[in-house]
Amino acid sequence: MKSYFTSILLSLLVLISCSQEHKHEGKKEDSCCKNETTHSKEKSTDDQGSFYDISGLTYTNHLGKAQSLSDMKGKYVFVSMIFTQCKYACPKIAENIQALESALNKPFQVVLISFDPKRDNPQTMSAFLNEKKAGKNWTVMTSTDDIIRKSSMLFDISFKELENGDFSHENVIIVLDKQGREIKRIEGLNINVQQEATEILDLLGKEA
Amino acid sequence: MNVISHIALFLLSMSIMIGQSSLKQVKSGTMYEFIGKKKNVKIKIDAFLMSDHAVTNGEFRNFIRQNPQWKKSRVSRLLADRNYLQHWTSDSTFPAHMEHATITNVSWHSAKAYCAWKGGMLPTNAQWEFALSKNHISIQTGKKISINEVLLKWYANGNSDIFKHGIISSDGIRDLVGSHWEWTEDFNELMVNGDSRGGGNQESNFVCGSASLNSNDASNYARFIRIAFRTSIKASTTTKNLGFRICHPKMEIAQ
Repeated sequence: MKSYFTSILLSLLVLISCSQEHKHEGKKEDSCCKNETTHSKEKSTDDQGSFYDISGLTYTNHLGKAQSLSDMKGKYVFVSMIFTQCKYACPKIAENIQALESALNKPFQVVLISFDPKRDNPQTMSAFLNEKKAGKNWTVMTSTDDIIRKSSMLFDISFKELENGDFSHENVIIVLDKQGREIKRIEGLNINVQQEATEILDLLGKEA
Repeated sequence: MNVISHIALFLLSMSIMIGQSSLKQVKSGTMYEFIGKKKNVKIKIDAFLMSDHAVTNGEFRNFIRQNPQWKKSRVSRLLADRNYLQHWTSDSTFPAHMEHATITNVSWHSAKAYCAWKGGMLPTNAQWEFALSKNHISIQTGKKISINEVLLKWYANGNSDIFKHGIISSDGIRDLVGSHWEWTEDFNELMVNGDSRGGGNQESNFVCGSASLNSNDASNYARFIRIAFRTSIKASTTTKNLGFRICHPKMEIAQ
């Protein structure tokens, strides 16, 4: 009986320490519909933040090595999000990046983040690069579901896992300068390579 | 005194704890998938733990103290826009009356970091909508209220009388709607639906007519408005009425 008493006493102690009264003074100020987002405010380039400074996101690449965004410091980078089993959109994204590479004739790093940690591993990711005859400057990498979610939020590329394990996703190529700042966001699959390349060179020229 | 009775007592005390602390169990159930090609398909939602209140300014200050990289003077613009914590008077201070008020002007990234620090996560869209789909009563009158009806009033007028004293669900979750919006783990997931082969925009799935056709409950206009809002923001966005609450997907993590 004594030990019953002890258990109850213990429970009570835990209970007391855990109960918190949360007063709801509730500033019920605004209507939902009076949201003011501030997309319209133009940010100066210095203010926009560097992807290379984002910590806590680590990936495993097609060589089985750990990689993070800070590894790209000092390089021009194309970033996209794909999955290697993708039949249509992702190969097209890779082709578009290759076309941009040859039009630009500048050393770029290419980083593809896979949505698909269940099926993508160093073998499938290497096979994807081999099939595309991608250069040594290309990386495919994946991570945990949580880090992939964070990456998709960071790069603002929405996706959704489908019942069959595939993904629907936005088709986006992001161009980063050597400081890791986003200088261009190319959306869609049917892109005008020459025009995009000219604009990228123009933007990089301004940066230098 | 056998082991089983000890375990029973422990479980009892744990369930009392859950009852007393801010975490409440949202009991499992089913819910219609709101947007999808399959009509009348219910999805099962497992039980999970959710905080009965949205995170407050005071609670968020504790987080900032231990995680200085989230101070407004230090956070990367990629993780929170320039209005992040704009109602705070400094990196760690805000007007005293806001201590227990819902924290707003926080980005998805910062909300997510707070939840991870607490060992939890943000509720998924499905969990959040499921929690809202439970019966709700007015705290003031104790009477059952129709969330949809009240929401439409809120959307239209701003302040609705019913929300002066708040609402509470049958699971004990308070004020899911009525004073602020809340971040969800996968808020951006709704943007895409089906195979996306075109450009970046799949909004046709959500806008008026075409969305209604694919929706299992076209009368749930209030939910369309939530989807519209979620699709209009980015993870770095902060607004003066967007907050969040913490959630634990599995019972055992909560201890």
